[in-house]
Amino acid sequence: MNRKIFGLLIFMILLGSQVLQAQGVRYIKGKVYEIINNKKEPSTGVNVVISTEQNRLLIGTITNIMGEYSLKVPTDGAYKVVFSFIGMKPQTFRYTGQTELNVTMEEDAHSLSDVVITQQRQEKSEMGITMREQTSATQKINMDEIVKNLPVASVEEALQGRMAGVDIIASGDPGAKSSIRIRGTATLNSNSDPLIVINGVPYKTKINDSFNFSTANQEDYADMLNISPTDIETIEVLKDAASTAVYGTSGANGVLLITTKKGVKGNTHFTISSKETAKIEPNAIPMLNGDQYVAFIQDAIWNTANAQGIANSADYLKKLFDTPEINYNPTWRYFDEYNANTDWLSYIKKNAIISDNSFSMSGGGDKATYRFSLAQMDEGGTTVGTDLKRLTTSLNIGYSFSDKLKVNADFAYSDADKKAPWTSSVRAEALNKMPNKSPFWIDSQTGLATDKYFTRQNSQEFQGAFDGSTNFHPIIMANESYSNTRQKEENMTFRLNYDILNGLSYIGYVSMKFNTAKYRTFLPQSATDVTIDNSYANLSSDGYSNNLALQTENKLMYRKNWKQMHNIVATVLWRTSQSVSSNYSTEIYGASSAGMSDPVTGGSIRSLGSSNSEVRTLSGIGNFNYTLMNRYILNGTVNYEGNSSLGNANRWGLFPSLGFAWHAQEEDFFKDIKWLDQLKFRASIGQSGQAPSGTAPYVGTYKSIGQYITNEAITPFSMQLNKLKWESSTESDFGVDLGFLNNKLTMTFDYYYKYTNDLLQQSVTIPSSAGYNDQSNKISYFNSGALSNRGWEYRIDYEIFKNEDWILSSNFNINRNINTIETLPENLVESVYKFSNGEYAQKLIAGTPVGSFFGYKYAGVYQNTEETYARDAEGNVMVNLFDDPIVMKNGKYTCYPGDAKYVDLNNDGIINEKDIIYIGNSMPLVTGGGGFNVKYKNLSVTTFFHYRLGQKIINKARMESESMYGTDNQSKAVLRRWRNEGDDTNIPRALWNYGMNYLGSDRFVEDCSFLRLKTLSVSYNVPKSVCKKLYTNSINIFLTGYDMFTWTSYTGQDPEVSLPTGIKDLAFDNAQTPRSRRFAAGISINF
Amino acid sequence: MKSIKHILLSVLLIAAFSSCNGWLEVIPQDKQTSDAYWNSQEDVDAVLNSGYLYLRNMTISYLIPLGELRGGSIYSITTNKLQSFQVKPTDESICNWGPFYQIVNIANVVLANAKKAQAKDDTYEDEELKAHYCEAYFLRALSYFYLVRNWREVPLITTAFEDDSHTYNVAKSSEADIIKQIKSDILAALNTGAAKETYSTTWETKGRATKWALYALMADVCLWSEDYAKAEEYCDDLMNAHSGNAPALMTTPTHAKWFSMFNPGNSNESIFELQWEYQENQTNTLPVLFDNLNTNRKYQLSSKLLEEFKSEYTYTLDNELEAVRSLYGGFYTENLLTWESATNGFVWKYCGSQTLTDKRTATYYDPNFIMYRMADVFLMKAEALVLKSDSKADWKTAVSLVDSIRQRSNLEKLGYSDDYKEEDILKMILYERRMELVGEGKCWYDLLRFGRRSNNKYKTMFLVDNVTLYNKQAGESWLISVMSNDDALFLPISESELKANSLLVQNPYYY
Repeated sequence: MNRKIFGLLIFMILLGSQVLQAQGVRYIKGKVYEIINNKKEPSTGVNVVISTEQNRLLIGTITNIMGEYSLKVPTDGAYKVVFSFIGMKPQTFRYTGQTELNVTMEEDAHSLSDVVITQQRQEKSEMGITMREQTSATQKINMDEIVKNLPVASVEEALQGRMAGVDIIASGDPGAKSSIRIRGTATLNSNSDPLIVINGVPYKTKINDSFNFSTANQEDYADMLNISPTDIETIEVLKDAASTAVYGTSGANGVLLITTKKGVKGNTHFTISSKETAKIEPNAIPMLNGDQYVAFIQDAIWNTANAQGIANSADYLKKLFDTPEINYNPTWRYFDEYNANTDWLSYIKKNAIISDNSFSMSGGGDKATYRFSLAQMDEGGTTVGTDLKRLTTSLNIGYSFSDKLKVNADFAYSDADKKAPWTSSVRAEALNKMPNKSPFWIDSQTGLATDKYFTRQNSQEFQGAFDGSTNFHPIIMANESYSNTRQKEENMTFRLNYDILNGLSYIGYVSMKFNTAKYRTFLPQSATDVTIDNSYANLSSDGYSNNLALQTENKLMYRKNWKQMHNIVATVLWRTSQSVSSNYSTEIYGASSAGMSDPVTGGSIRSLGSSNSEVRTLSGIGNFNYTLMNRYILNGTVNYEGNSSLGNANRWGLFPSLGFAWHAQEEDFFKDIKWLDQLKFRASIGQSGQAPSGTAPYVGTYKSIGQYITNEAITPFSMQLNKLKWESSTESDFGVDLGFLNNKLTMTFDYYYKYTNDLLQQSVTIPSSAGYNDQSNKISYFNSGALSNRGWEYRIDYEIFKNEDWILSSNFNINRNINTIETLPENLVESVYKFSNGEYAQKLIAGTPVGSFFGYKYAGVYQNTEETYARDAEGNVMVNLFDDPIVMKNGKYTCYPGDAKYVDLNNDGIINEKDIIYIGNSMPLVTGGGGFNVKYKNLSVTTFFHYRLGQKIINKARMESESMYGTDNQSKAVLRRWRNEGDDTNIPRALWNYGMNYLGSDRFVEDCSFLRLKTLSVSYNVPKSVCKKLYTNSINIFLTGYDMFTWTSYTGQDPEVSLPTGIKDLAFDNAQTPRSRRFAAGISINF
Repeated sequence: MKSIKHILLSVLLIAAFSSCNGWLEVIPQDKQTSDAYWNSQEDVDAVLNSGYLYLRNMTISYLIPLGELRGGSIYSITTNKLQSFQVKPTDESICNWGPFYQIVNIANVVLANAKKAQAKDDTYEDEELKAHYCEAYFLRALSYFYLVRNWREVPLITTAFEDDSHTYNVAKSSEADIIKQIKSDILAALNTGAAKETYSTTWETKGRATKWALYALMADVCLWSEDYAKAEEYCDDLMNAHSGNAPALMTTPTHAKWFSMFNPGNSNESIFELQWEYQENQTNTLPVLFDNLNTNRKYQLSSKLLEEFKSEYTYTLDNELEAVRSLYGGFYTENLLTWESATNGFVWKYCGSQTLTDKRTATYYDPNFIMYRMADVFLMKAEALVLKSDSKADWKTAVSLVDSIRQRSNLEKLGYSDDYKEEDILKMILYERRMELVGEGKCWYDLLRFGRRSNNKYKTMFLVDNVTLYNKQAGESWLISVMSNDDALFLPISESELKANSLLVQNPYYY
């Protein structure tokens, strides 16, 4: 198949060159001059070419030192002779059989100035449709402005808050995955990320689900967009189904169109830019010090012993008095090491530097243009051990064989090296660690810390032995363990444009992307203090994955205009894509050193894995756009798409869409309104789909399960899913685009409604009576349920003032999305609520928005015994048969003064599942951004704000640091814990592995609305006169502050909490690395 | 010129379109796809084998605990909700019926596809195909028999879940419908006339479904459904078989002969037993679970049963007879010499080696699990005879059948007396079953069958009294109160199954 398409392309190239036909031979010669100091001198090195009428070059030469040239001219046919030289005006002469042609070159005034010639043509989309002719919701931003002044490491970061309806949450760690949602999450289990299209070619970022590196977390391999932000020219976002239709179903979650910079005709330009950014981490939540911790633990154990009663308290008293870690016992061997005062976090956090350097070179002549870029970035993390280094390079070459035939080749290479500690919970561990423990051995003579790590972490230790995820030495973990990903990517695209007839053109491309990722992890034994035979001892893994994506597209486009009345653009295209990947991994333990993770070097193998996968898609798309009288626009698209992940019966899906737009300002009755420049109404409706992922997940399989004595036993392993089909969505969009005051004030408003049904659910449980017990009764996918997203977006841009010296402009966007479950999926199994500390209930109810939390109402602390009496609905104390008052119970635990008080909604004297109510929703009410720019002569100030409002979150980090349940260190807030009657506090008393004092209640649900000054940037363009003296075209110097101020009432470290990807998951703040304040200084030189 | 190019181009495009559906057929390279599976007789055989393999894998987790613990003959030394009658729908490891349905599906898949394989395999004779059907029917009937005895009402599924063309949600069928299906499956198998009497190897003859296994199962099912005449008939089919391949009751009253049923196993008496073989690296933990010295031991004899075994042993000692199914036959104690005062008794069947008192060594941890053997059939026939009619002749035969089992163990003959009432003979049969078949996963089903028949006629006498007498793992009043509810005699449907299958309703008593 692909070979056919490739053949087709070659055929097209041949088509172009076939114009070379049998022709006779003639000669032309002459001399070329230029004017130097008003004297006519011979000009050396001037290009002289013979070209056809379509500007296809046939033959060429350059003038010799005497300025002479001689050329062979084919007989019959019309030709031109073209003379060109850098810095000179090109000159063209019609060939009429001259045998001698002398020419004098003239200097080109334009080429000396730095004015870049703006494009004459109106920009058109991939489907040949101009912005004006569009009927759908799109937004475009020019990256240059953003990137020039801001220290952004990734495209996602640059876009955050800038586009209405695009919700991006970036992460604080270098290279970690950001989540991008265009108009909310519209799918349950398959991919919700938007499609990224680079220069017209879909960029496959999805990591296949057969990806099974034993220890890797899929996000570790982040969908890193390995493009340097400085290489990007524009980004356009397509939001509604009608506009994404041309990208097929993979655009169902929205499309980000990225256009990279290309070479421009003219002198070669060099740009060098360099940015240094300092990352300064915000203050951490203060934790208890050593003495406070010991006092708290003793308090907790003592309280529990009391609550248990004398009969059952022996173990607790023993714990209280016989645990050397929390007692004063100078004769104990480790006395010094457990009488320290350690701020664990201070050892593993640091301020860091991001340095970002890029170089680019571009230029070109009449026939060819090129651009080369090289960028290097090194982002240090604020957690010790994290780091991202990236090298990107790209080369773009365009060549016009003639006015009819153009080819273009893009090559891009990137190499990203991401480093992180073995576990992402280093910070959490540092916060939980007992502060009276020393990280280092203490010299018994001097009482000072030595440089030798104190690694004691066995089961006798107070906080216990390493359990696979917690209880390790955070400093060793940060410094010596690693989890490194090295990703290399090569991307090649070859593109061909051919104008077949007037208005009819062919465009085709072949694109190949190779991606290899190497993954290595190591967990040193010193960090965990496990014995050498433990399967975590010197645990190391080594994995490799390799992916090839091959895409082709053939497109025929027809544009025609009749008398300025009717304008049509019709396009048909045929697109193929094929993605093949394979991976393997090995994991061993007991290795003798960090470099020995290869299984052949010894150590015991813990796991081995490998897999292959392949997915193919085909789609045929037709698009028709008709404009009547330059004001009524009708646009229709049909996509017929097939996917190898679906069975024969449902493999092909048909997805139509239709749009209508009306440029009302063109109507006579609006013509007179001078201040109105644009009034465009848009309406569109379209369908799209999602296919399941993975290699043919519908295929039923049989598998060998061993032998019954000597007979081979084979069993049905997975069911053939013939009913599996496309998840389909229908989206309608209504929008208005307004422009006033010579388009100084523009506004866009959109309302949308997207309904997704036949939701694809992954790994669905079927009844065990179907007979797949050994496979945990799972089938890979099942279509069921419906979901809707509706909302609105508004954006305004206003150029408030402009004169020669001053420019003042501002922009603002706001959007609201409501995500609702319309029909609950048939076999949706909700996670069962467990009545225990820290647990929140989950309820998915048809007709309600997703993201709701359910839990208890917190009512503070019981101050005295009187308060602990259970009361009926009238507020009277309830009594038992013997007329004694009934005491409230939190589950099975009788409440005592100092315990957490929850509202007993059903007045039965027991806090249990029946007292759970709705306590909040994690979906924001509105999100958006805005800012203003001021420019005075060469100085400009840019600000940008980002906000999310009306969003609730479970502050799990605070819950864990105020729970006072186990051995974890707690925040200073617990110094306010209840101790005696009358203590004015809402923090319960300390208990030791006992009680229900931190049930999932609204105590830990917080509003995390925020407004954040994302960027404040001052930039200065060095005046032209100075630049000239420095032999440069322009110099720009800038200073930028990033994430400088945040206005929020949220008590956690950072209100910008990433939301869970599945709608079934609750939104927790797990205290990831907080976003640092960043200050950048940079310079960009153009010459 | 130009137009020719365009025609050429369109031809190419059309060619591209036509082959595209095939191009989208991506088959996983590392898996055996189901539509390419059924090609030969061997393919059918391999799927049937996984049915036996699944059944075998259930011995320790299901067949023994479900069949024994509620009955009280043996008990688990670790807490077990079955023996304390406290199983809840959340106890997934006990009430997940998935493993039984896995075997049902294997049978359904074979019945649906074997013909396809025959069409492709010239050497696959009709007889062989029918024999495969017999095995499939047997596996399906056996699975449903376990399901119906434990859950009473379960979804009746006879279509193969190979693809998603059938609805996953199936409601429960009545006990009668399931019994009907079981019987019709066994009859269908027998009616093919192709049920094998013997296979090419001994282990297969005993380890796969034979005509004999079908008879034994049918007799058992008929007893359960109170169809005593039929039960007798199928027992007779076995007992009076003229075929040289028919299993026969071991009659020699020696320990060595009797114990050869368990080690090395696959004896002449055996009808169907699940197979293990250490030489193929297929071993089990049965010897461990019953080993008094192993720290992972699990099962012990109830003290009442220990006393009964002791008195049998005393009888043989007193009469200077060889002890057969008593000490180091049916049971053993921690110390050979102090057996008289021993308070802990264990089942010897799975631990014992071929010598008298030595245990199997770890290498030979491959005892088979016997599901049907002739002694069971003799006792089933006795049961059928007693209940079939009031004919004293039949009752007399019934007692003599029990005596034939006792005789080979050198135990006192019970002898027939005209004063016997129905329940007196039934009591003898039940006692004999308990002693002879201890540890073979039968006890609870026996009590349940004896107790439920004739509208709970003997519920107190045979079920409640026996459970309270033997089972000391739960309070007597608790046991009586639970068992007073007929619904509590069956297991709940697991929580996850209820969630996954919207048509299911929890069994009564567990709402």
